[in-house]
Amino acid sequence: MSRVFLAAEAGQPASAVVRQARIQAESSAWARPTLRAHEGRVSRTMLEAAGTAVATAVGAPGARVVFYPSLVSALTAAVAQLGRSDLGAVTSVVDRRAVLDAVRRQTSTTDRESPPSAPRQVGVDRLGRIRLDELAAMLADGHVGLVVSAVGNPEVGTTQPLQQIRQLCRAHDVPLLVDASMAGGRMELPADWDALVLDAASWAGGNAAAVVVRPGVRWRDEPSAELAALPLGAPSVADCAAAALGLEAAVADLPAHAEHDRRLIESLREGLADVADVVVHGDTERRLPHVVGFSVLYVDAEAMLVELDRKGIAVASGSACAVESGQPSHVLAAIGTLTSGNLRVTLPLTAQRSDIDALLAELPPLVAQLRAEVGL
Amino acid sequence: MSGADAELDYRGQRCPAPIVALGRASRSTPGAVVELLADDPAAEFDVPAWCRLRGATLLSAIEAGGADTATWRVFVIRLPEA
Repeated sequence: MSRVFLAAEAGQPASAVVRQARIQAESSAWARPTLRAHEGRVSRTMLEAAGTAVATAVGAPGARVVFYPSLVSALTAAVAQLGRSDLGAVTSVVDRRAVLDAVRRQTSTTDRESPPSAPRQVGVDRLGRIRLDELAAMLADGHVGLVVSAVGNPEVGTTQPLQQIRQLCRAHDVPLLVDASMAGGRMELPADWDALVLDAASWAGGNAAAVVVRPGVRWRDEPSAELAALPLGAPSVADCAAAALGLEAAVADLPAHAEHDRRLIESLREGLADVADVVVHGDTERRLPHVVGFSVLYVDAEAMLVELDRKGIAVASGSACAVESGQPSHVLAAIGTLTSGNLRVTLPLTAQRSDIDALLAELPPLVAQLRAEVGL
Repeated sequence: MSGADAELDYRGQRCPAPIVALGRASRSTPGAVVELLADDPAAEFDVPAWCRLRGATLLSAIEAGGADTATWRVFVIRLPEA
């Protein structure tokens, strides 16, 4: 039985292009790039080429690219090395857990005389879009060292008004870090950022993450004491080279591939609208092309996950009963919608219409059956 | 009881049991006022969201229980008319 995989935020297999590139790169660039010898220079040259390719692919030729072995390490470094370290960072209430954790870590792991002010979070509307008036008020208050925003929300898809956010940041001379960990390689990225975080997983690029820093934006090279204490690790040069090649390939397929994803999610949203008492979250238009979240009234999310998996379909959930923490999704809570019965679809790079058709065929009878079991 | 027509005690039951109870009650006793007790962490968000979706009125929502005991929430809700 072939599987229908619609949970790409949990990972997706590296594409053939990426696997091939990694095997080739491993045969020549296996030495530590800081080694002062021929073998080290070979690695260094390949790493620099990968950085140049990534900067160009995100529309910022000449920008500096720093690679990390994981999204968490890239976010941790970006939050610690951008902006003013003596001031706190501002995020939104719906940023992904890794972003909120990185900001909290920067605030708490400090031995400075006066630690930066506590992290502050901007509220969102019912679609999950940042309230610009709240952000403006926080910036006007001062004491903001960095603003962090996602391109789009990983749970409900809604994109953020980055152009307006950046205007506000510029007016207060605060850098804007944009989390493109879901969007990289999947849509044409907006240009409204000072630094960008990418996760190769979003374009089936294997295990690597990167921070892209525009020329002229302050990036503290000397890691701060608290950052040096964290085991960020170094990525393998071959992984970086392969991820860069994967990004180039994904970007070459844009905007057609993003339109393909957009249509698939649109037909899923339309199909879900025909199922009674299903709330589809987020903005219908201004959204990530490949993401949708919805909540099914009166149904246990875990039961749906188990039954769909049995039928060969993998999706994810933000409901309390379906996650390790036992806490409902902070995103769904913030937008004031049902946190129970939640399912989340993230298309892998290889998603086809038949995957959506399979979900739309299996879900309505399953929902009806589970509701009948509780007398509704 | 705060003048409610019925009490629904769903302490100890996980999501979505409390709102399933509300769904059933609005079928059997539309327009009634019910008091719902729930300690599932999702209830804080799901009960108000259910009220909005269903056109029910959330009359009050308070946290109950003490320092020595677990806490729960007490919701008083006017169910939608049929």
